[in-house]
Amino acid sequence: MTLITNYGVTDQFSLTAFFPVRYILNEKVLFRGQNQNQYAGGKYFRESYGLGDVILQARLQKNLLKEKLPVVFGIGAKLSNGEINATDRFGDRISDNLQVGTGTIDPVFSIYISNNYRQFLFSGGVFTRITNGENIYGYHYGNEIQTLVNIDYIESSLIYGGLQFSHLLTTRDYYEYGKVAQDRGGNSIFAAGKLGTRLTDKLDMEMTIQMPLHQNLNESQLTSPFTIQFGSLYRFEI
Amino acid sequence: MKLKFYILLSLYFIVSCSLYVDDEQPDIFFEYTDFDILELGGTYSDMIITADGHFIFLADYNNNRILKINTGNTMNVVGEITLGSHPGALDLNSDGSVIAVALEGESKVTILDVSGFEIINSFSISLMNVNDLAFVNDTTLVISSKTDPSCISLNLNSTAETSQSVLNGELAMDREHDILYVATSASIKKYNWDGMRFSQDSNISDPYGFSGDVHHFVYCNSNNTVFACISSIEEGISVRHVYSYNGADMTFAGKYLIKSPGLAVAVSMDGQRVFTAPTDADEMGVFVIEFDQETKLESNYYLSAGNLTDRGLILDPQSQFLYILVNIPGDDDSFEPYNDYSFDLQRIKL
Repeated sequence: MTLITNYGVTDQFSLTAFFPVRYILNEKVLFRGQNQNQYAGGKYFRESYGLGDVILQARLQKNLLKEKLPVVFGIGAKLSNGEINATDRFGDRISDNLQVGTGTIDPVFSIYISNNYRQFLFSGGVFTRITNGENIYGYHYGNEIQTLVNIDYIESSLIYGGLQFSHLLTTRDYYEYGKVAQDRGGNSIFAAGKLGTRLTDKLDMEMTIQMPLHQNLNESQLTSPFTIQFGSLYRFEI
Repeated sequence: MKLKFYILLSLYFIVSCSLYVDDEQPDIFFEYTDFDILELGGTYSDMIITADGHFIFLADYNNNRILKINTGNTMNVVGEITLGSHPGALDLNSDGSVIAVALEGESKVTILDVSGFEIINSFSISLMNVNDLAFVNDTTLVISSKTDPSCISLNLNSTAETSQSVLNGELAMDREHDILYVATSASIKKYNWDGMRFSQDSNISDPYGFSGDVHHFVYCNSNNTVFACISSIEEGISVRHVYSYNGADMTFAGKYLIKSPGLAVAVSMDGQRVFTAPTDADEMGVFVIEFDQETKLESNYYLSAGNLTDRGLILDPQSQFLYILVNIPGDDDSFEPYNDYSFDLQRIKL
């Protein structure tokens, strides 16, 4: 679950904060000798939960093409507040990619363009997260670039729907000061359908169903083939 | 001008991230492949393969039977014989026509005909808890017990049993030279056969230095070497190698580092390739590790589908396939009794 707050300082400038609350559970079957605390092997659980790394972003809107094409430039940082010391039941620290935090402060950039044409809203954007080095355990997350293209259809003020195509590229992680990690990174292209409603002037509800069109991941990775997301947006004045 | 700049910048981002290729590769010494597995279930105490490599025989310890496996394109069970309590060890005679089976749960040795896959004889013996046996020649067996301090020999023609001055342990026979090697709990012993009795050779191996549990013991005639998979039963001593000894003088011939005690070993007919089954998995899984006999260095890794077991590794005579007994932990994922440690047969193409 992610709580997103946005504060419009002016019509063209806003501040946004993302507060991800994460629960991660990993279950696997160990072979004999893979974990000295559970020498005979068998089922082994690892879990972590809590507030993940908060992202703070400043967004500046510029209207281009004679004020007809709004472009939103975002710049910000992903903080390193998330816990990176979760342990298993034996007290051993679990893998970095199962922690709710990453342990590094990383810059985040985005560009977002949108334009209305009759009842359609065309929009697109690029989002990047560039990892700023290793955390204190020597783990270096790969960079992430996401490209989005949206077509929204707004039937009335009550209901809207849309299609989204996105391309997600993540590069491999490194660990132990330079070793290339397995089962991390790759290319994915997703298609998503969106259905939303503006319940009141202040409250929107939205459901998104996403499925991969193409995936080229490094080695075998546990990824969801199909995701359903529910979101809500509430506007209020301070 | 500014507009063009922003549009070009946006296009640059979109296009560049689509074209970017992440070609960093981790160090991987193996590939994931689909496992070639014959699902059996059961706990197996020994396995042997015929000289032509067409059939494997498994001693099904808990179900008191011997299984005959066809190793054709698709492995399948082509026969089974229920023969007595807890078959513990198997051996083939020199021409591969009969199999001797030692029954650990009763004082008995059974002889099977390979081609007809039927019991052709059965012998009562004086030993309890038999753990191994070997053909000395086509008419004589040497048999070892877990609890009796010394071995016996059994003449299959006269049924005469003779107590031998041979310490108990795992047995490996050099039939060409009538030499018996025994891996005891303390060291490797060498005995010479005079047609009636074994006598200990003057060459004696150094003791291991700990009290050991022997999992597998193999003689390789092409380089006159024995290979022993041993673990320590003493606390605080961890064995991380498979040991080998020169048959001629019983000197130490090499240590093969596998980071945990060996459970089984197989050697190619030319003696150059040594395949070892470690007790422990590494981070990525369980691997059979191949060594070069000359350098004693690792040369290949073969991914196993599960945990390995004592004597659970054989190589076909043409060195084309490895056969291993694997216990896949995911199969044990229930609360049903007797569901643990059920092994299947995995084939690995070399």
